[in-house]
Amino acid sequence: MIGVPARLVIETISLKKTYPGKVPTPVLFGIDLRVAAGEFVSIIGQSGSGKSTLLNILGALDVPTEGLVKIDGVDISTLTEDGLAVLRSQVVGFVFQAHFLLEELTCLENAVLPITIRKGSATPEETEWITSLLVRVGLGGQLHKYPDTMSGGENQRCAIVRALANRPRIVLADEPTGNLDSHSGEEVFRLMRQMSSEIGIAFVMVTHDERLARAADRVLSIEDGLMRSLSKEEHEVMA
Amino acid sequence: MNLETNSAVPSGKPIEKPVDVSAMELPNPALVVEGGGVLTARGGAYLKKAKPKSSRVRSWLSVALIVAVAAGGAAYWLIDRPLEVAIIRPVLTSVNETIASSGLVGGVKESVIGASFNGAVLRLPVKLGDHVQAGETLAILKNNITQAQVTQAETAIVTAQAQLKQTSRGPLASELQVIPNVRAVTPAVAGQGFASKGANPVGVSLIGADPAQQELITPVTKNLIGGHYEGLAADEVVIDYELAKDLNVGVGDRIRITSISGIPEPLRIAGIYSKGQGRGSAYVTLRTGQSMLGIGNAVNVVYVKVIDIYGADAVAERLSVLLDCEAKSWSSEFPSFVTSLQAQSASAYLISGFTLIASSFAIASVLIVSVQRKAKQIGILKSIGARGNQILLVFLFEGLGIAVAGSVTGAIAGITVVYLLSLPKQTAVRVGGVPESLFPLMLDPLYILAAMGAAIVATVLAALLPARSAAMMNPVDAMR
Ligand SMILES: Nc1ncnc2c1ncn2[C@@H]1O[C@H](COP(=O)(O)OP(=O)(O)OP(=O)(O)O)[C@@H](O)[C@H]1O
Ligand SMILES: [Mg+2]
Repeated sequence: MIGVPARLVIETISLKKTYPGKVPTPVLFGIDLRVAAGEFVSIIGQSGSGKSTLLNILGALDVPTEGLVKIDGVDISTLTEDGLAVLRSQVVGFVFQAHFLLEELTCLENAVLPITIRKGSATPEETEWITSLLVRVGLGGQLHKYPDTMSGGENQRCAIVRALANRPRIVLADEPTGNLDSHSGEEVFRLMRQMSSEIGIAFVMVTHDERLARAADRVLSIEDGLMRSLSKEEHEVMA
Repeated sequence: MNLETNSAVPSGKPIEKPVDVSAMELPNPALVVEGGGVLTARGGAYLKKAKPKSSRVRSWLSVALIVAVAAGGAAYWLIDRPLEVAIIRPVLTSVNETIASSGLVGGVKESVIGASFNGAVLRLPVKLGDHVQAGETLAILKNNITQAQVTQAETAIVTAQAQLKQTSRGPLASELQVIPNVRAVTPAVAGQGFASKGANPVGVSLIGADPAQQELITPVTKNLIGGHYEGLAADEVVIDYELAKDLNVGVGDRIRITSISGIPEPLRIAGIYSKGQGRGSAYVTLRTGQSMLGIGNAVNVVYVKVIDIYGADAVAERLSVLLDCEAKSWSSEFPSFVTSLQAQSASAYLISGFTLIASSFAIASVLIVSVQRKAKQIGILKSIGARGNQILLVFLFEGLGIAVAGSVTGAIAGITVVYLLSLPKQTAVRVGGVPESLFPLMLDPLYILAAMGAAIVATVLAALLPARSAAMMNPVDAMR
């Protein structure tokens, strides 16, 4: 990717976040982050360093205290509530540590839900496409099962397909493999990389798993509220 | 007529001595006493005053005479003066002299004579100067004008009486029927009387009316224990159970009812009814009632039944203007009943209102809890692009669902409870009647639908608050 002038899908300049409260909690002190289209970036950092905080802001689920956030070239501070909803619906896909599927819906229904929310109902072609993705991630036999009758790995794979449903430009994954054993985690990670390269979606993945982090195009680290880019070598040193 | 000089107006020479008027001579035409008594319509009599012009001429003549005599005397004295002395012996002689005088002759007693109406004089029995006695006819006038006026007035009376009859006939029942809020109009006669079978008379209030019309006002047939009311004959009567018990009579028996006319009317009992409580009236036909109360073919009461009982006062007011009769509404006759009814309906509304408010709060709190419990789902939905309005709609629909389900369930439960309450019977109050329920079953579908509608509206409004807060939630805050 180096040397190839790619379009930026994420750009932050001096992004700061302080959680308000009786004792305000400053978390991010000025993050400058650039993610190009189709890039797969992993973010590591100690627990409580602010990884989730950053990801929530990038996914327009939370607002920064200060600084500029451009998602797909749009300054999100200029967006209305409905504009943010459109952004979450069509530009960004989110995968959480917990799968966060709706218990009332089947696997397939959960995966199609973003389309349903966006335009009322999914066309047969769209349903077909979602079904094929679910088959791809090994959920062909689980299409009509409910989340509480599926394993954690199966639910997380379903959640990844849901994040891809509206063909977003970016998928933000916050410890998608955190609740999974190493084998399932690896499977999920491989799937994400495949999707990234096949559909051309940029991935930003937060993980504690060094091995998975290293498998990304780029590894970033949050330390003391600041972003640091780690070279492959540094990684190896750290490991 | 007694004429007497009551005033003399001196004119010309003053009266020098008393004169004998009867021996008066008239040597000088200028000294004629003019005028005389004139009878006027007013009956006054007087002498006209002498004309002033002739008195002046007489003055001039007198002066000239005196001057001529004096001049002659003087000439005689100066020119020829005989010394002759004439001896004049006084001789009694009569002097003829005319004294000019005028006066007004009036009566001792004056009276104004006139007629109180106009008319041509037909006969005049008295002449000018006649003596008349009090009460004597002076003149007879022709009174044909007045007679014409009398005829005219009589015609006017006939016309006015016809108009009076027309206007005082009273509006027909059909005319009263068109007054707003009037359901039925029944002309009737009502009065008091005594019913007797053998010895003991029992007081009874009597109503005479056409049965079909009376039914519109007070249903009788519905409450019949036996016999019939419809098609009541002239010699028949329908009495209430209490009276039948007192007289110890049954349907088909004959009783006598004496009303103010005093003539006992033999009547056959066509039917016996029971009101449930208290004494009821005895019903006869209108014609029988009229003859018993001796009021010819008039009625003494018009029963008017209204549609909206609370509009009775307005109807009574209109009727009293229209009929120029006393019109009493039920509310003016039983004011305390009105007050208690009003209090009752007011408290019913209050209870309904507070129930609605309380259930709205209950629903609102249920929905608030539901929003809190669904916070995670709201967060998830927002994170995958759900708009605030969509969340709002979801929760409004949820509220609507609760409202519809709740109000339908509530209505069914309410109807069931009311039905169950209506089941226990109290002992039959009227003889031969069916036992009535403790609580009368009154299910107005409109009322039920209105209550359900109000509950649904209140619930949806109550759902709005938590739904709004759900829609405004920050996705991360919701998911945490
Ligand atoms: N809503 C909040 N209010 C106040 N402080 C918060 C809030 N959310 C997070 N924090 C604080 O911000 C800091 C960063 O939290 P964050 O969840 O971003 O960490 P993280 O890097 O994702 O940690 P982990 O690896 O354990 O998930 C923590 O110290 C946390 O206590
Ligand atoms: Mg985290």
